[in-house]
This record gives sequence, structure tokens and C-alpha cells, in this order.
Amino acid sequence: MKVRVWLVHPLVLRVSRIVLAAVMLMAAVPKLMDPPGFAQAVFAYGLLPMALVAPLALTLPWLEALTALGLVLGVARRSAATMILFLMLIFIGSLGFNLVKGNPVDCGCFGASQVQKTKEQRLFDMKLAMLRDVGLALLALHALLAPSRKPQ
Amino acid sequence: MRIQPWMEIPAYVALALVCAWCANALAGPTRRLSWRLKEPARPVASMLPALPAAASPPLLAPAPSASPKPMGKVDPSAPRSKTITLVPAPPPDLKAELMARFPPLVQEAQGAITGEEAAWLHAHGAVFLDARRTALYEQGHIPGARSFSAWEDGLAEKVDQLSLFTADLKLPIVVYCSGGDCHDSYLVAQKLWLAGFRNLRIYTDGFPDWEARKGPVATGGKP
Repeated sequence: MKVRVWLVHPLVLRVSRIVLAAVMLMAAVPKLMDPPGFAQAVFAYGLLPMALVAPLALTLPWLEALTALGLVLGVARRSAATMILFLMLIFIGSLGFNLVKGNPVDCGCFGASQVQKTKEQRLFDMKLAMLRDVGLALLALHALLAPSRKPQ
Repeated sequence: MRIQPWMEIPAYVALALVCAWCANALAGPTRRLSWRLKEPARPVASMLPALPAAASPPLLAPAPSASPKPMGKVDPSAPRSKTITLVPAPPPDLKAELMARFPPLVQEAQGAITGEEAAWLHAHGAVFLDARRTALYEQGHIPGARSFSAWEDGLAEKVDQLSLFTADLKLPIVVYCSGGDCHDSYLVAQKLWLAGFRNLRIYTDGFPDWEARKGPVATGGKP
């Protein structure tokens, strides 16, 4: 029971939100700076038709940045956390799909990778990225635990 | 006005779309991404009137005004046509050699070539296209290769221009990227094929292989 009390402590919730928002912003900025590089990464996943690659590559980084800002600034906080949770589930699914297929994709999570990696390195990095996304999804869930402020 | 909770997520998505549109409109050419990456469903080559049939047709017509007036949107007098620089036309004997060793492809859209074949084609004056990002192109590329980045905005215009100013669409064109699992050269070749080019060769091992073979390397933004 103590853990539950500790989990919804305002300070713990705040730190958790800041960490989540910081990671989301760190992921968004390189992608915002280089949409063609991110489009290349999205295409490599092989999940989207060509017509949707560019709209996603252009919009997704902004969605990450805006929800991160919303989360720390308290603008539609629960919706921001829900959106981040949804994004994380999609990222985990996309990485998992390619891992099962044995298709070593460059994650693209923090922008296009500048280093040429071997197939094994990429597959290992994909597993790490999945773990990281699970962690971020848990942080987003944690943000949803916060008691919603009902209008009086 | 208070936003209803169910409107918040659509509002985030809408705001992201607006920001993305504005940021992309303001971005520089190498950072800009075309919203529609799908090829336009118009066969560019078939829009052209008969191609100039000179005795020894240059790879690219000497000046935009010398090419037949195109139909459709592409205007050769537009300033952007300056992005295509002229390449020396291969002499007739070299052209015959090129066509003998690499005849136009009939069965497939593009064929893979090795580093040795790429070096031979380079020595015989074939057109080389670099499908990597402009930043990588500037760091080093095969001399004479033009930057045809698969992902940056303006590829469709470059392809249109190349098809307009290329006298013989059946001469071999080599497309390369970074080797390995790089798909960019295939994407560019696909667009060229739709534009009517019929002798597209993919240098599958790409620029890393060229460097490993100690091939000549040019730097900067010019071919």
C-alpha cells in the first residue's frame, strides 16, 4: 500500500512527467531538424504505404514535442499522456514487427543514425529501443495515475 | 472557450499538422520533405514530343532552348533548370561500347552492377546519380555524379529535367547510395523508370565500395 501512496505523491509525479517530457523532446528535436532523414527511417520499417511516409515523418516529431510540452506545462495533461502512451505502443509494435521479421531497421527514434551499423548491432539496438519504449510507456501510465483536477 | 476533454487529442494532432506544415514550408531545400512522396501518375516521357535525333546525340542537350518545347508543367526556361549542368557527350565509339556492354533493359526496371562495372561505366562517360543525402554528397561523391537525393524535396523536378534534357533514354544511367541495405538508389531508379529511362543500373555496393576500390572522389555541391 505504501508504494501506491508513494507513486501518486505530487513530487514523484512531477519528476516522472519531467523525465518523460525531456526524453520526448530529445527524441523530437533531431527529427524536427531533419524530416527527410526521419522519412528514410520510417520507410525502412516497411509498415506504411509511400503516400503516408512523408505526412507521418513531418507530423510525428511535432506531436512528440507538443505532447511533451503539454505534459510539463499542464496543458491537457491527461490527453498528452494518453497520446504518448499510444505513440509508445505503436513504436513497440513497429520495432517488434521488424524484429520478428528479422529486418534490422535503424530505429530513427532520436533522428537518423550517422554511423553504419552491422545487422547484429541493429537488431540488438532495436531490442534496447523496445525496452526503452516500454519504460516510457510506464512513465506515461504513471502520469495518467495523477488525480484529474475536476472543475469545481 | 473551454476545450472538451474528447477534443484534446484531435487538437494536439491538428496543431502538430499545422506546425509541421509551417516548419516544412520554411525549411531549406535539403531539409524539406515533399508531403506527397508518391510518384505523380503521369508518364513524363510519353508527354514529350519526339526526342532530338541527332547523328551523335549529346547526353544532355546543350541548352534548354535547344530541346523541344515540353508539354505539361515543366518549363525549361524556369530558373531551376540551371540545376542540371551539362555533361560531355560520349563520342560515338564510346556510346557504341556502352550500349554493347550494357544494352537497354527489357525484362526488368533496373539491373544491379558491381564496383568493377561501375568503374568501367564511369570511365566510359555514363551518367551517375547519387541518391544519398546532400550532406553526404557534399562530403564526397563519384566525380561527375549529380545529387539526386531520394528523400529531399525537388527530386521529381530533377527527374523531369533529366528526362527533358537527355537525348537518349536508353543510355545506361548508374544510381548509387550507401550500399548495404540502402534502398535509396532503387527509389530514385523507380522514379527514373516511370519517367521513361530504360537502362538503369544500380551500383548496389555503392559509395563505400567505390572508396574501398580507391576510385576518384569529388567533394562539394557540384558534380
